[in-house]
Amino acid sequence: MSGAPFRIPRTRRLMVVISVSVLIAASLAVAFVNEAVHRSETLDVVRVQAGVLAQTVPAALSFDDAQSLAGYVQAVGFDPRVRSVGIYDQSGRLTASYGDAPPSLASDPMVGASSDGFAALAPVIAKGVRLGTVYLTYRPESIDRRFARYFGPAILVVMASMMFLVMGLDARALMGANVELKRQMAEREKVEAALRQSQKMEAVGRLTGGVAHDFNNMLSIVMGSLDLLIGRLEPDREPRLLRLANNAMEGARRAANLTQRLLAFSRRQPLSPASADIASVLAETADLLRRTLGEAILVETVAGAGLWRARIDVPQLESVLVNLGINARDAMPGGGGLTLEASNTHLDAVYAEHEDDVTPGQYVMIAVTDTGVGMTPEVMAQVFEPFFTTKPVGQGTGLGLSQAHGFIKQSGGHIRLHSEVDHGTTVKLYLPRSMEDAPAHTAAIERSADASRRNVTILVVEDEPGVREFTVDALVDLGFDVLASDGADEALRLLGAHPQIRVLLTDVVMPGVSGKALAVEAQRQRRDLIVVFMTGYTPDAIVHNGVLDPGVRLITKPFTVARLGAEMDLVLASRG
Amino acid sequence: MAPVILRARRALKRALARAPALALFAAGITFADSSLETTVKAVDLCKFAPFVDWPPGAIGPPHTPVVLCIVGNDPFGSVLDRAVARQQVGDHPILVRRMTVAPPNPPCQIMFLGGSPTQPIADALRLEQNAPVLTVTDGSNPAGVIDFVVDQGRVRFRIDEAAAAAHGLMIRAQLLNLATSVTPRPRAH
Repeated sequence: MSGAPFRIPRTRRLMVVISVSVLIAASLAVAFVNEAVHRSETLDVVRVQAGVLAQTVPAALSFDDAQSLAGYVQAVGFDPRVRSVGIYDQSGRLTASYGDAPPSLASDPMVGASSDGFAALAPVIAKGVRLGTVYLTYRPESIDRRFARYFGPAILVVMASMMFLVMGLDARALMGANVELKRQMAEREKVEAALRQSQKMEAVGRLTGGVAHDFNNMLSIVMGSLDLLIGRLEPDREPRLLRLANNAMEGARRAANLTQRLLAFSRRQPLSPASADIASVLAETADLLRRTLGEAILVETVAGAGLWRARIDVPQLESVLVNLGINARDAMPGGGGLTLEASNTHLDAVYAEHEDDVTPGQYVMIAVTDTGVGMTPEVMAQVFEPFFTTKPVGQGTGLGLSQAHGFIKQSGGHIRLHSEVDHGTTVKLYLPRSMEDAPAHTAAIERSADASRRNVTILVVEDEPGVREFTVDALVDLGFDVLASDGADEALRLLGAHPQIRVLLTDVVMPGVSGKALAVEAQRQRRDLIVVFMTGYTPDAIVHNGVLDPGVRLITKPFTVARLGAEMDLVLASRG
Repeated sequence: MAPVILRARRALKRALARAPALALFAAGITFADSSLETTVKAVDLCKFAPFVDWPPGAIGPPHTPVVLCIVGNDPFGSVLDRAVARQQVGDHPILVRRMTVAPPNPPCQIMFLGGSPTQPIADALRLEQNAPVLTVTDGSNPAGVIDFVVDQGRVRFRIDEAAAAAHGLMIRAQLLNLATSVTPRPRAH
């Protein structure tokens, strides 16, 4: 996971190399000079020794005192460095010696420093009378001694070089660690930002969902009552009242639409995902967009062959795509191109790790690309928030993209934005792949509604009196026999007392025993009982991850009388 | 005895190399211990000068000789003349003068006192005790500054530094080291 390999600055490496080189060169030079000095000093010592001996021996040499000469020579020989000593008389004859046999003076012996050692000649003079010659040689310095002499400085040089190297390596490691730390900090910041964003969306979603739920219940009452009112108003006799009622109904529908979108954003709208052919969805949506957006926008679709099927609620997807199309049009006031593109994609673990809330796996990706004005990063950071809009007041609800976001997330997908100012925007929707084949189209059951409704008793359980009354009225209008209860206990009693009840239509969220628990108990007593839930809100009780449990029927509040009738016909038909 | 013989032989060889005339003489003395001893003493007598410092003015300018006086009995004879011929003290040749008695203010820097019936060695020494002269005796009592002795068959010498000081002479340590004994100069000076 390491980032780009970092490099030590060249100057720093160069400095270490130069320092070590200079250190070694300097120490070699010092060693060389030291060696030369040491040799010349040793030679001086040899000369002085020879001179001292020459100063000591004149009398002994002059008087041919071999014993004294031997004594002097022996004394000099105590110095372990002395290899040989020779004392020659006036005629060049060797009169005393020590160590290695000294050469004959006639052979012009070596003097000075050489690899062989050190040698010096000194004349023996007394009162200007040359009495003889002293020849003194030193051994060359032994390897041991030389080593001992250089060991200390050599150790220092080696240690200093090591220190330089270690310092260099330390600096390298430190820089590496620094780079890694910065990278991790950046990564963490990114992840934290994503988490904050996600938490914010979650909080806003929960708030929105709560408000929308209560609002939906009230809208159910309003719309239901208006529905019944409109049904009972005779157009000929009270045209004005009918028009007012229709206006009210239209307003209520729009409010219902809005709450629906809020629920979509908060991922609480009941979805009915099914295996869908995305290519055909794109084609249909493109047709719709071409008609809607006008001729200034060129709409194109690109769908690769062998496109997988996706598991998605198609009407909702279409709604999202239309919303995106409208956004694109608004971003291209002078016209432009809109491309709907679909392809198979695999999001791997590495990608998932860097994105918030993404499951690795196979996806069908839909990219909606426009050639519009694009967005700045600041705008992009906020577009998924509800009621955020860049459009003039009154032109947009600020719910389009947040609805899309909620819907895609609820569907187990993933949404990504790419935008560059002045170049355009791409919205990518990743829809989970479906391994199912196309669902078999069940032939619509065509039956006379009135016939099927006759002698069918429905038990309505709803704690909200307004909703309960409207529902009961609607069902009665539709031709059903209806019993009503405000809670589970009463409902179970009625079920026991009226075996003719065929359908239990119950609210999900109620004080005390929930609709789900009631349904389970009721079906335990009456296996053939048909259960239909009414809800404006889909808690986990009946919906897992926004997907209905198989076999569970659901009618979404607020609903119209016609929709209620259609749903009832459907469940009755499917049970024969 | 052996060291003396060896030393004498060496001395002879040296002499032979340079002075054929001496070789004849040397061949003659090889067989007589006393003459060998005398020869060694004669050679040594000529060698003291480099190790003795005379007071200023006692020795003349360069090339003037250092005079070696043989006072009274002369045990060396021509052997000494031969030995002196090979010796020099710096720029100064050595000249041998023979005299029967030591005079006051002697015309010499080295004086061998052989003794004479008219002037015993003691008298001569007393006479010369403050003169800048290196007095040499051979086994005498009283002795000169340098007195030859035979020690374990070798010719050696004693040195009386006190007497040397009286003469205004300085004997170099190199020579003192070779002496069998040294009478030190008085401490308080």
